[in-house]
Amino acid sequence: MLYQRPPSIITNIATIAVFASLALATNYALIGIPNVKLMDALVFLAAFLFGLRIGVGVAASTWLVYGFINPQGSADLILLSFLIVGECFYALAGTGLRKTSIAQDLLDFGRYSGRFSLVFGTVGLLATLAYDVLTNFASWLFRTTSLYDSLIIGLITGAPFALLHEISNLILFATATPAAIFAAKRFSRTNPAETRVL
Amino acid sequence: MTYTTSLSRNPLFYLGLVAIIVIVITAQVGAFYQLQNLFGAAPSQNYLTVNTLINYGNRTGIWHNRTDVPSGWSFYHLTTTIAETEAPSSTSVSGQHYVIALDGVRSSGPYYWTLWMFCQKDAAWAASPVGADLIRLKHGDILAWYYQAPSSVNAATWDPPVAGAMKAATCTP
Repeated sequence: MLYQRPPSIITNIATIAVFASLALATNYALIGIPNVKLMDALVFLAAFLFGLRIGVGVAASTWLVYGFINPQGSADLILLSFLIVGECFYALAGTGLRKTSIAQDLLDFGRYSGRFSLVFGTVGLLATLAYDVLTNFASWLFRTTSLYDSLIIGLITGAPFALLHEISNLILFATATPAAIFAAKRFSRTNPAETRVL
Repeated sequence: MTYTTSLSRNPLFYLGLVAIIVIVITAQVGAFYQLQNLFGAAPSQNYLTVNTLINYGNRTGIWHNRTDVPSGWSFYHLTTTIAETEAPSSTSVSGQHYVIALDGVRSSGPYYWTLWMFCQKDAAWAASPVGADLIRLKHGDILAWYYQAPSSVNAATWDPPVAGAMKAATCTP
């Protein structure tokens, strides 16, 4: 196996900047379509390809800009902190999936198989569900009399948006994400040091 | 390694994934219908009285007091009859409308139309947690559109549509 030098901090910052720029550009381009965003898939991809720290960096830096500079209104600091934590779920999902044998199969197999779509779609859907539950809860946190009320009201009133978010991410994660990983593998930009097989 | 590799080749594993997808989507659809039931109480009369304030944000506000609103209408439907409404049907799965302009006053920069409901029990205005399509009108409803530039997406920080009026986080059921 060839020795690969670990990426420098400059490389990491540049990688975060590239992914965050892509996420921001696509977020603003899709501003008219509520809850359909490529950002989640990009955070997942960054973590899958380059590790958890890069994924978390992309999630936090994207929301720090998008949360404050948003034509639909800026998020306050409390909501913003929940949004960043929620976005990190995608980074965790990307890193976690990378450490499984299924991801190893995907990288080793060399050609597309429908089972990758099913696995990536399900992981994306579950991460999106976790994000929606957390952020819908946070939206009502200081507007109701109990945490339970915040959770229930958040889940019900946020249902139309959550449904759209989850279906769109299910499709995106099932199609675009494995394709992007194949493309990255072909260009040899993945970091083999990140691969662990359970 | 052997365990997870065999797991990834087991058809039951993929059947389980399909089951997870079905369960999550079904739960969300259930929550969505619950939401429609909450804001869609069946009216008991053929025609309803509904009062609507349209506050254009430049100290101009117009009350539309309608007594001939057919039961079963949504607030979006009523809005289209009392104001020139520009609202392309969004791509959302529920086919809701995002109101861009009322009577020629369009969303611009930080300014956009916010939706309010008057809570009778609280005697206060509350920002609607749902869009106009999901508000099934009831007799005596008082609702408002208010064109403003909220400083935050948190509705608790928004100004009520009537200056100096009380504000509530949610309406007491």
